Parts: sequence; structure tokens; C-alpha cells
Amino acid sequence: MATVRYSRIFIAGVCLMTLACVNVSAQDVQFTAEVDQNKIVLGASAQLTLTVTGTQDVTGIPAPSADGLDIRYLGPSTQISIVNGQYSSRKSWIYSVMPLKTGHFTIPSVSINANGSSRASDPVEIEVTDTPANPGVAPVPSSPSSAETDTSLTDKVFLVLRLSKDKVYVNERLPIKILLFVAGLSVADVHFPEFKQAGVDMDKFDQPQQYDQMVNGIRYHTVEFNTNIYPTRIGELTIGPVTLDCNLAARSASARTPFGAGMFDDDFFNTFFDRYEKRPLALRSKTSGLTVLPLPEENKPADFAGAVGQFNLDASVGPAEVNVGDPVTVRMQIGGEGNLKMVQPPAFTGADNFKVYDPQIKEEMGVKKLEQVLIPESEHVTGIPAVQFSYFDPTLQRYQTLTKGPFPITVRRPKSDAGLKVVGSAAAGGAPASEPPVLGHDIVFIKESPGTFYVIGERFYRTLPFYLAVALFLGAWTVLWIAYRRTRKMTTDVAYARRLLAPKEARRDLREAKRLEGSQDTGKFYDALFRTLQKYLGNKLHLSAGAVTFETIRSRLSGRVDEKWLEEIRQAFDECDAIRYAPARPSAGSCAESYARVQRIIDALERSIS
Amino acid sequence: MNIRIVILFMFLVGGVAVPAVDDAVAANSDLISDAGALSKFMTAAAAYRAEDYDKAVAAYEAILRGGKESGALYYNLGNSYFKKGSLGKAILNYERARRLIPRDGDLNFNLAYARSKANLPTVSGMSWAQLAPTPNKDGVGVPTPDALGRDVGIDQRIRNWTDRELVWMLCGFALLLAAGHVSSLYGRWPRRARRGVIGSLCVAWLICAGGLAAKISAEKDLAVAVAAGEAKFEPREDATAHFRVTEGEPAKILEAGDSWAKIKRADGVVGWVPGKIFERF
Repeated sequence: MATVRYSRIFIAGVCLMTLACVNVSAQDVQFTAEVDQNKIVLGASAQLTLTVTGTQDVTGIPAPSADGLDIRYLGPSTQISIVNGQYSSRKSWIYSVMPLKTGHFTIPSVSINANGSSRASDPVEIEVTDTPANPGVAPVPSSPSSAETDTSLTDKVFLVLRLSKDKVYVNERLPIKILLFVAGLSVADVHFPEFKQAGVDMDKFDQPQQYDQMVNGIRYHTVEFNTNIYPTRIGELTIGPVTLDCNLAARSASARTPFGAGMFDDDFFNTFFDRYEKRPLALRSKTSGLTVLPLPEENKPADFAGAVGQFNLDASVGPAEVNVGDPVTVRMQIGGEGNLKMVQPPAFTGADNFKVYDPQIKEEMGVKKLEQVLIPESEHVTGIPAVQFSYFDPTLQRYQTLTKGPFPITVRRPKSDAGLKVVGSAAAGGAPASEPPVLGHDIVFIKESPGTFYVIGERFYRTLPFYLAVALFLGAWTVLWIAYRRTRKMTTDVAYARRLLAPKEARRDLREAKRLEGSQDTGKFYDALFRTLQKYLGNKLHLSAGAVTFETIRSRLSGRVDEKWLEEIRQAFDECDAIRYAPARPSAGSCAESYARVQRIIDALERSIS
Repeated sequence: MNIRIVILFMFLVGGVAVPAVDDAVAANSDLISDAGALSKFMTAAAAYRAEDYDKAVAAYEAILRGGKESGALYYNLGNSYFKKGSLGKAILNYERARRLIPRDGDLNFNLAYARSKANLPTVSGMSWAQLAPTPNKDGVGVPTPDALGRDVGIDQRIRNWTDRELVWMLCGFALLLAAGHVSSLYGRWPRRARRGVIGSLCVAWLICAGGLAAKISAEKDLAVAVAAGEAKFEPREDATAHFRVTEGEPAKILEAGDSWAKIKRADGVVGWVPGKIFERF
């Protein structure tokens, strides 16, 4: 269903388009040209509209032109309307027409190619008058000849170049004026003049002045640009032309107040209702001839460096009293009328008894300044030599020489030789804040004392005593360290301490038992012998006295000592028990044998168990 | 426990680093006495004042031949050679003096001045690598700024100390370390305090030991050209010349034969020069 509905809409659209095409083809194609005002004043602009109706099928943009008129294309306009099924189309091209002079002008017929055939517009008549464009401001009275001759736009805005004189010396300053005259027109966005001239140096333009003046009975608003030029080439020069870019604010007649002429046709209301159109305008002045004379050769000073004009020279020297080696600053200042670029201040290039530094030269506010540092190298210096500056005065037409100085100064020998002695920075213990000038360089004097004599190649750290001392030191440290470790372990590790002390205590106990061996009381002897063995084994194996039985001992020592020694221990325990708990009285040989057995057991265990 | 291992290691290293007794010096029986050396020193100084620099040089050299040296002796000998116009010998003796009195201002000034006279870099206390010859136009063998400044810091600092001073410092730090260690054990110092003190002393000791090792390494086989000459590609008279050797220029002697020595310039360029041109510090 939807497909059927869309198909119907498409068919209906195609039908409508077809009908429209039929209507268009049936409509007449017309091409017209018209201006919004046939009568305009010089300085204003009119609007030309070329319109084609009945078709949009137009190729190209028409380009109307006419002598005396400046026609500029502003843009197109297209209008299509369907009223009561009646289709109409309209295409327009809009142009701004600005007259360049007064008179009657005809914009000739313009042709276009519409719908494959050529169409031509009718010519358009325009009358340009010289009536004031704006009666409220700067009324321009018609000159007597204006009624008979046409007035051109270039009569209302033009540029004039004026030289102050036509004969100068080379490098002489020549003031020039560039004047922009405007009468009855609105000019905006005025640029500085452009002046490109070979063989001429030029200053920057001053700030322009603006004023009104009457010329040939016409009031002109004038913008005056002032600058100086300096011809650098000898001979006949042609100065100019000077060009200047600005915009002409042309009042468009199409935007006239809707109230027409009358009480609203004055500047106040025009300001509100008029439409101004900016048109770039490149103005060009006429040229001027200039004769550039060479400077005379006669009486030319030897130090003349090309300065031409009227100059003055100031020079000063300070300080007036210095020590040998202290800097003296010479300051010079040259000002006046002339080309300062050509002025070379008379710097010192070399002087006896002086060290001369390069001068610092700068130009500020029309004055050339020089600063130069001189260092007197002898106390016999009594002054700075005179400075001399020569220039050519074009007014007097002769060379002039200015002289300043000589400048007396007092140079003293330094009070101490400290400033003259070359001292190394390290020797001086650091650089002083302001180092005295150094007059010469040499090495520091020899040393009076030899210091410590060493045997060549001998070093104390390569000698045997040093080596022994190091070994002793290391040994002492190691011993102290080991002793500390041992002491610490003895106090913290009970098993270790008991094990370590076991043989010592056993030896003491054996001595006690030995003492009892000779006594009649063999029970006490065996008792002591048993306690010795019991205590030793308890210490060695970290067992309490009650826990020392043969079975315990055997379980602890099995595998660690030979079985023979276990048997010996068993025998020793049995012998002691037999005597201690039985009335048997052993012989003296048995006691010695038992003592020797215990001793052997302890020795063997000391060797076997660490 | 770790600290103890470190301490043991340091002493092992220190023991190895301490060279064996120099028997050759000990066996020297022709040593001049200090009084004799002083007498000759004064004689030489008087000759120097009288501008008899040849006599001054002879007297100073006599002390050296007698087996004695001192910083002031080398300094004065350098001055005498400078006055005689032997820049290379002057710089050589100033450098020798620097091994004994490295922080002497007069010495550093004179050394810098002599170097400037020899068209060598003049900054006092520069490292050996900084004393590279002026780069040639072709840029061959030109040391980069990085290479020049690479070991400026450490080298300059260690050259401001003599080897004797550094060994004494090592001994001092070792004594302090031992004293601190033993005190911490018997005095039952807190673990943190013990680690802080012993760790700091260990770092100081290691810095000293590193400085000494670097100094020995940097100054080993260092020599100065006592005369201008040409370095060649091969140790033959007719070999192609490689570069010019400026009087006073430092270099390292890589191999020293009877008549030729293989040297390495500060910028790494190696060449063969006649054996008489360079003398070791």
C-alpha cells in the first residue's frame, strides 16, 4: 500500500514540474538595465541593476563598462515566485557606479545569453553634476570654468609633492612636504605616503598635520606629511612620484532618506540614512626635479667624514683625577641640523700613554652620542687630547671645524703596588668585587722555604712499619670482636656455656677426686669420681644431674663416639655404684684404675664431641 | 652481620691496596741529608734572585739527584725553567709540585700562566681530559664537550689532595670505624645508632678509597712534553706524521721503548713520539 501511495506522489510531482516547464517556456524572456538615480553628483555612487526575467538559464555575468564611470560588480540576486499557478523568475546583477568626472554618460547596451539566444539591454543615461555632495560640509563653490568644463574626481582629491628647494649639496638635508588635498569628498583610511627613490636617504615621516586651505577659490581639506630627504647621488635627480593609498567613502544615492529632499536633506540626517561605500583609491603625485651639487674640494679638512649641515659639538671627560690604570670616560655629543647617519664622532683610535677601548656610539632624539674609555698608562699624562669635528655648512657654503679640549686630567701613581702585582685568583683568596686593572703578567716569585723534604718515590704507606701497624690494628680489632662474640654467647647460650666449661670443671673435679684417692674413705673417692663423670656428661650433653644415667648417655652418644667408650662409661658407672652402694672395699689399684678410666673417658669425649 | 662482612671486605681491600715496601728506595744509600738539601735550596734561591737561572736549575736538580723532593723545590725549579724559556720543563715541574702541594695558590697561578704561554687551556685545576689541545680545523679528534667535562668533578677534587693526605684520611676513617664498631658492641648501642654511625664511616672510607684509586689511576703514566715535536703513526723516523705536539702538552705514556714512546693525547688520539719529548710527572 505504501509503495502505491509514494508512486502517486512522485507522478503528481513530475506532472507539476512538467506544467511549470511548459509555463516557463511559454513566459517571455526580458533583459533590462536600470539605475536607481539617473542624476548623481561627483563623489557619490549610483546602483545599476541588470535584470533578466522569464528564465534562469543565463550563462556568464554581464560586464558593463563606460568611460568616465567606475563600475564595480556587487553581487547577484535571484527571485522565483509562483502566484496562482503562474511561475515567474527574476535574476539580477547589481553594480555600483561611481563617476570619475562630471558630464553625461551612457552605460552602453549589455548582452547576455539566455535560453540559448542573445538578449541586449537598453542603454542607460546618467548625468553627473558637480553640485556639492554634502551642502552642510565643505561647500565647493563652482569655479567660473566649471560650468563649461567637466570636473574630474582627480580635481577633488589629489597628492602634491613639494621640495623646499631645487638645488642642494650632496648629503644635505632637504625638507619635503607631501600634501593630500580633498575637496567635498569623504576620504578615509589614509596611509602614509610611499616614497621609493634611488640615490636618496630619507627620514621617517612626522605626524601628519590636517587643516583647511583655499586654493583657487576652492576650500580643500589638506593632510600634510613632512619629512627630510638626503640626496646621496650627485647630478640631476627626479624626485617622485609619491604614492598614497586611501579609501574614498562614496555616498550611495540608493540609500537616500525615504523622506526625500527637503528638511531631511542635510548632513545630519544623511549621516543616519546614507550608505557609504569604501572604494580604494591610489593617488600619485607629480615628480619634481632636483639638482644635487658635489661638495667643494677646496679647504676640505683632513678629518672631514661627510657630515653636511649645521652641527654643534659637546665633549666632556671624567673623572678629572685618576690613578694609573683607572678608566677615564670621554663623552661626546653631536647635534644639529643634518644627516646624523653621516656623522662620525671623532673617536680616539690610539694615543700615547693611553690604552684606548672601542667607542660606544648611539643615536638618540636627533643627537649622536659617543662614549669611549681611555686608560692612562703613565702618571706623566696631563690631559686628554683635544677632539675635532668637521662638517660642511651648506648655508655658508664652506667647511666648519669644531674643537673641544684638550681636557686636563691628573694621573697619580697608585699608593701601593698591590694593583700592579699580578696575583692569581687562588692566591688572592677569591676575586675582589672590582678587580684593579692589570698592567702586566708574570709568574709568582719563588718560595723561600723548601717545605718538607721527602725521599723521592718513598711513601710512608709503602713502608714496613706502616704495614705492621695496619696488621696490628686489624688484629686488635679482630680480637676485640671475637672476645665480644664469645662473651655474649656465654651469657646467652647456656648449653654452649656448659659444653665449653665442662672439661675445665671436670679437671677441677678430678683434682678433687685425686686428693681423695689416697684417703681411707674410698666411698668418698668413688662418690667424687661419679659426680665428676656425671657432671661432665651433664654439661657436655646439656642434661640435668638427675637425667645422667647410662641409658640416657648411650642414647645421646650412640653413633657419635666409639662403642668402646660407651662400654668404658658403663664400667665406670658400675664401679662407682658398686663401691658407693655396697660394703665392698676396693684395692688401691682399683681406685687408680677407676680414676684413669674416668680420665680417659673425658679425654676421649673431648676429642670426639666438640 | 652484614656490616661486619663489609668491614672485613674493606680491610681485605685495604690490605691488598697497600703496596709492598719499596726496597729500592730503602736500599738507596746516596741520599742527600735534609741539611744538605736545604743548603742547596738556599743557594739556588740566591742564584734565582741574581737572575742566574742556569745555576738555580743546577742546584735544584742536584737536590733531586740526591733523592729528595718537595713541593716548593719543584715549584722553584719550574719558575727557573720558565725564566729560562723552557715552558715544557716549567709545566712538568709545576705538575710535579702539584702532587705535593696541590692547593698552593702561587703554584696554580704559575701553572695556569705557563699553560697560557704554551697556548694550552689555562684554567687552574683542570682535569687531564680537559687539557686537550686546541681542536684542529678539520675537527679530527676533537673532544666533545661531554668528554671534556666528564670527569671534571671527581678528577679536580682528587687532584686537590695528595696521595699521602688521602692515605692518612683512610687510616683516620678506619680508626674511627673500628672505634665506633667496638664501642657500639661493648657499649650496647641501639641498633639504629650503630648502623648510622658505622654506615656513615663506611661511606666516608669508601669515598676516600675510591678517590685514592681514581687519583692513582688518573695520574699513572701521565707525562708532559718538554719539547715540541711531531707524533707519528709508527715508531720510525720516516713514518707519516700524525699530529704536532706542543711544548707543555700533557699526555699519557702507553708504551715506553728505548727511543720511541707511544702516547695518548687527552682527546684519545694515539701517536708515537721520540722518547726524549715526554717526561713523566
